[in-house]
Amino acid sequence: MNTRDFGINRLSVLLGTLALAGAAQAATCEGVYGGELSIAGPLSLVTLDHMAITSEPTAPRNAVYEQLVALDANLVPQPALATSWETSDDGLTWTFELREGVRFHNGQELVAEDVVASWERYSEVGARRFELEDIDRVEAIDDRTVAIHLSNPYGALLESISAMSGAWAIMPANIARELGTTRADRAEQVVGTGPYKVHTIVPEGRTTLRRFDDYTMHEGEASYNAGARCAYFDQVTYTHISDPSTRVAALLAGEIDLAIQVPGDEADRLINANHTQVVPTSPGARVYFKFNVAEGPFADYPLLRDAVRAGLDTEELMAGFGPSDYWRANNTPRFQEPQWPWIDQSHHFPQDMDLAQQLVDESGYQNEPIRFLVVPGGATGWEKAPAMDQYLRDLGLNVRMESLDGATFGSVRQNLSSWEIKGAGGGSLVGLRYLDASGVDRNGNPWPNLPDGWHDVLERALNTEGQEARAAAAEEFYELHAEFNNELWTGDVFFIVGANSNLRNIATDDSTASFWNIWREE
Amino acid sequence: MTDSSQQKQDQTRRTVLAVDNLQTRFMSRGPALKAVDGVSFSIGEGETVALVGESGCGKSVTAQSLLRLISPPGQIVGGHIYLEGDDLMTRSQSEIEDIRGNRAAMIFQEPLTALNPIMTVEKQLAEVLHRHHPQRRKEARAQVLDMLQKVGIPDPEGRLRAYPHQLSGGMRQRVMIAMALLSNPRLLIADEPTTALDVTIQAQILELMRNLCSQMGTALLLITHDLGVVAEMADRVIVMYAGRVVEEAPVRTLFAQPAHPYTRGLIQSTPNLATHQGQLVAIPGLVPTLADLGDVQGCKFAPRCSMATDKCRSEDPPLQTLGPDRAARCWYADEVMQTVSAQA
Amino acid sequence: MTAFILRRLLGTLPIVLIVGIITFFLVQLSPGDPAMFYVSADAPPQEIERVRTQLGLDQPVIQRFGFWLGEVLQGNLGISFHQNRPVLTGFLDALPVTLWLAFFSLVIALVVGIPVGLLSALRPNGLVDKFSTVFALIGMSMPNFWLGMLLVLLFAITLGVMPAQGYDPTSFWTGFRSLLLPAITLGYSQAALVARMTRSSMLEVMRQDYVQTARAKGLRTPVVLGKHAFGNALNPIVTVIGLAIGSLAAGSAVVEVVFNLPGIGRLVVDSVMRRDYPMIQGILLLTAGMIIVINLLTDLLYAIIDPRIRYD
Ligand SMILES: Nc1ncnc2c1ncn2[C@@H]1O[C@H](COP(=O)(O)OP(=O)(O)OP(=O)(O)O)[C@@H](O)[C@H]1O
Ligand SMILES: [Mg+2]
Repeated sequence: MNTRDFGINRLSVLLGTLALAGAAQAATCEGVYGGELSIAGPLSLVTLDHMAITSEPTAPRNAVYEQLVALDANLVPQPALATSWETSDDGLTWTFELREGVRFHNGQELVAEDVVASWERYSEVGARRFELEDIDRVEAIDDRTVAIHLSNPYGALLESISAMSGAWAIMPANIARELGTTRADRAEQVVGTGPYKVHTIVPEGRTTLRRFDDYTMHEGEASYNAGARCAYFDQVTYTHISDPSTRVAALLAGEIDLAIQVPGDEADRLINANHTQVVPTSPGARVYFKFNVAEGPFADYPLLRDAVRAGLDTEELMAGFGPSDYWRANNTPRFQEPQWPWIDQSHHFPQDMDLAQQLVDESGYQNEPIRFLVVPGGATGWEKAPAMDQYLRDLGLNVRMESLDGATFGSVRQNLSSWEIKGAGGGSLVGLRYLDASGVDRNGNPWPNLPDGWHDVLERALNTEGQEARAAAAEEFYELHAEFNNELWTGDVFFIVGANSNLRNIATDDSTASFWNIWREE
Repeated sequence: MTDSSQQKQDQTRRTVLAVDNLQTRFMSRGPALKAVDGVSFSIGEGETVALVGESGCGKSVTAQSLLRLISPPGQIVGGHIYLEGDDLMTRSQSEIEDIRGNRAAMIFQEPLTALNPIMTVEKQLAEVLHRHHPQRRKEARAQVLDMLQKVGIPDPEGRLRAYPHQLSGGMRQRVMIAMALLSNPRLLIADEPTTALDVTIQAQILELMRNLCSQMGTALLLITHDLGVVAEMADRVIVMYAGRVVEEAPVRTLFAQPAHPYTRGLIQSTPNLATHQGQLVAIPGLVPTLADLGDVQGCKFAPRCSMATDKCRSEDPPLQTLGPDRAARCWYADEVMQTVSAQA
Repeated sequence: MTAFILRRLLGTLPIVLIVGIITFFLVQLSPGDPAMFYVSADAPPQEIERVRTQLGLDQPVIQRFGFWLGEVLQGNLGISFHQNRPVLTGFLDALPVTLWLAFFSLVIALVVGIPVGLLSALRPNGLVDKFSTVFALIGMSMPNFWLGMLLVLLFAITLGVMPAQGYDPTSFWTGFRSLLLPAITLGYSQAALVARMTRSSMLEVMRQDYVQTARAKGLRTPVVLGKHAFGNALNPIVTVIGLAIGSLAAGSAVVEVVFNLPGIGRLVVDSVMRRDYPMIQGILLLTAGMIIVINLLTDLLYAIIDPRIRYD
């Protein structure tokens, strides 16, 4: 399965400008209602403030808050609190029509003023507001209509306002103003329109949500954050269990129903027990390596990057993440080969160790030390490190692996004199913003020797009118990116959700473990 | 008092303790150590018997055996201990515990370490009464005070709440004596009760013990290696060497006319007793360890004895009765007695 | 005595302060940027800088230290980055779990360790003694978390009679149930230590003259051992218990993570991972203070047990 499923066409990610309200099929919630769902995840939860970013789980916030638009599994923005939208001819004004009859958890009805006040707060505290710097102001035209005024055309506006963390969540105007820049930590401050409302928050302990009975359903099939949401459970609790083995033990002991992020090597325990199951959720996380192309051997000898790419056995590398059901290898990480999933990958070079060796010789590499940074957790993780370390040695590189904890890694990688290659990971669905970021280092400085036209092409891909022109621009950009060759994408790992066997309808297209459509079959 | 009158008095006394062929061994990896090897003696009511001998000859083990306080690897392997006619060897552990500290009590050498450092004087004393006379619980304090008074502790009331470390050595030993005499025992075993004290205190304590024992009619087994103390205190003396009794005699007789070369050596090596004879003579040779003595054929003392003959080295002499109340374990006891008389 | 306690308490202030200073610089100078946890992965440097300013991390470290020290001296430990509320509140929320855990594991260490130690002292090289040697060896060499996982596997997953994780403070009974396996995990190695110490201390004491005296008084064996011998054997045992409390504090971090108990141990581990400087500093400071107080209590306990020890 590793290669066949890979070429999913996600070109649409870049193209979703004027999405139409989908054929509004009445969502049917046919599962069993009632009961309590107990979820455990690796991150502690002290706040549900959707505008802030903390190292916290996002699913509970996405169940409580909603945004104007929501991303579906293909990262295409779909109607949410806005049912439709249009762009002015100059591309500077976007007008959204709000859904009718939507109520907040406190009983207030959603009006345009709430969107405006939420924006005002977001522009102060929003963790991703840097993406929306082009927004001049948000205006309530009437109770049902909101206009966003831009200073420059911004083609990816919908993607940015549908971000699932650090999000422009819509909250009642009075609460948004009252909160101002303080974080919404107390249950009564967390008021949204989502299918579940907050009942209690015990910081670092347990957060309890209850079904919101006046929830206004969205049309369309459930897909990622978009579409119908049927809140089957009366109550949902989220507990923080940081140790993965403990999460598995709790699930096996029947103390929780759903465990987020089960390590690949513990999955078998859940498969073998007859009351538990595992659900791999794609797209998971992208596993890649980043070359330091500003300093050191990979900057001085560009051919060395090609060499590393040529001989790498990605399957072997990915095998560190556990049974092969839980990852897929990217078999086309070779040089000169497009590496993005939405590009045709029907042909690729086979792995070629001799070629790799030859390229090392040709590169001019003088046995300079190569520091390989590794950090635990997720796709960046230790799992892939030993195989990579061994491979680089086999190539004859003078490599030294350095394992760091997350926070240390975060600051060490900023110093371009302190590493040559590092493990990296990120969401497998790659938005435009990411492409933008791949051209700069952690200090925000552009990498040296970026191919000519990099910024132009990117700009066109973001803001050109018309689907085809943008797609062409994107294609052009990928060519440049492959040529530049500063990243080595080896595959994706899926997040494994462990669950009680009696749970139904666990989303397989959502690695954040959204829970709003799950029910229990007795 | 002449020997014969003393003798008469002894016979009228009731026997409190009679030990018959007591054998105590310590099991070790090699052959068992015969720490007490067939010891027999008796003590009458109100009588003071001294048990003397060099360090390691088995005095303390004998004393502990009497109350069956020997614990592994030590073991009493034979003999009888009669306390007022009861054979203690046939008693159960629990019966023995009823006797200890009650009908027979014991005082140890080191007054500091022999008292529990974390209990008050009152508690340690009252404990004895509570244990053996629970029905007299209420009067316990009065009795304790009375006994402290008797042993000459000033301000007994004030001392009740004292801990041992707050008392001087002499006071501690007085407390020990009070503790031992509280339940009016028939037998008191005092294992070197004054060795750790300075000379003036020693005398006071000994005086006290003698007075109290004679008042209460308590038989006293006084263990010491100080012949000066023996001369002061004892009615009769038992001399031990290498786990055996080598001589037994009334105190005057013993000093006047020892019947065993070892006894003679002991006397001559004691300053106060020897000085009037002009010279101090040490017993030659090292005190043998019990393990060494296992190999000695014949008389155990022969290797150190100036009079030893071939017979001594090959045949072990028995304890021979030399007269009423007198016995010695020497082939040449008569000669020894005569040479001493001649010297005198 | 009161004067002694006051003097000791005053004497601990500089120690706590030094601990505070050391932890401040250790924490603040260790690599890693707390701001990272409050921005998205692709946030531009200006955004990171803004968060740093918000957290007060833009100031030079010496200036931050001065400010922090000033606040601490006024009894203010600051606001946790992550919890966004006073450090003290977060600490006090987590404290009861850890105290109960320490208490139960100490009870287990004593209830198991002392009798086992006594029995093996009674018959050195006897059956109990041999058994307890093995028991102690395992206790001292098996890592805490490993024992914990075995217990969970047996009692929570296979038998289903105990919770696998978490803390349920609804009632004393539910709290006790949640803490039993963790307390066994934590208490086991301490029990082994206490058993060994009780054994050797008892053997030492049983050779003492006053034990012979007690036996010569005709006291029953249990009284001789329990009152005379054990009372005197207590001091080294108390020392071990004092040390045990210290290692309970350390061990509870692992056990709280494995059993998912919302206590101080887990809080400090999490806080280090997310570089919650005020929280780490506050916890270390308060824990240091608590350990110093425990040491003081241990010293006072010596004086209560042994009248020869006097503090004045
Ligand atoms: N617990 C023991 N284990 C092994 N041997 C012992 C033990 N106690 C005593 N002995 C041995 O028994 C012998 C007699 O010892 P004991 O203590 O009776 O001597 P002592 O005559 O009282 O000497 P001292 O005048 O020094 O008190 C010694 O050789 C000693 O080594
Ligand atoms: Mg002795």
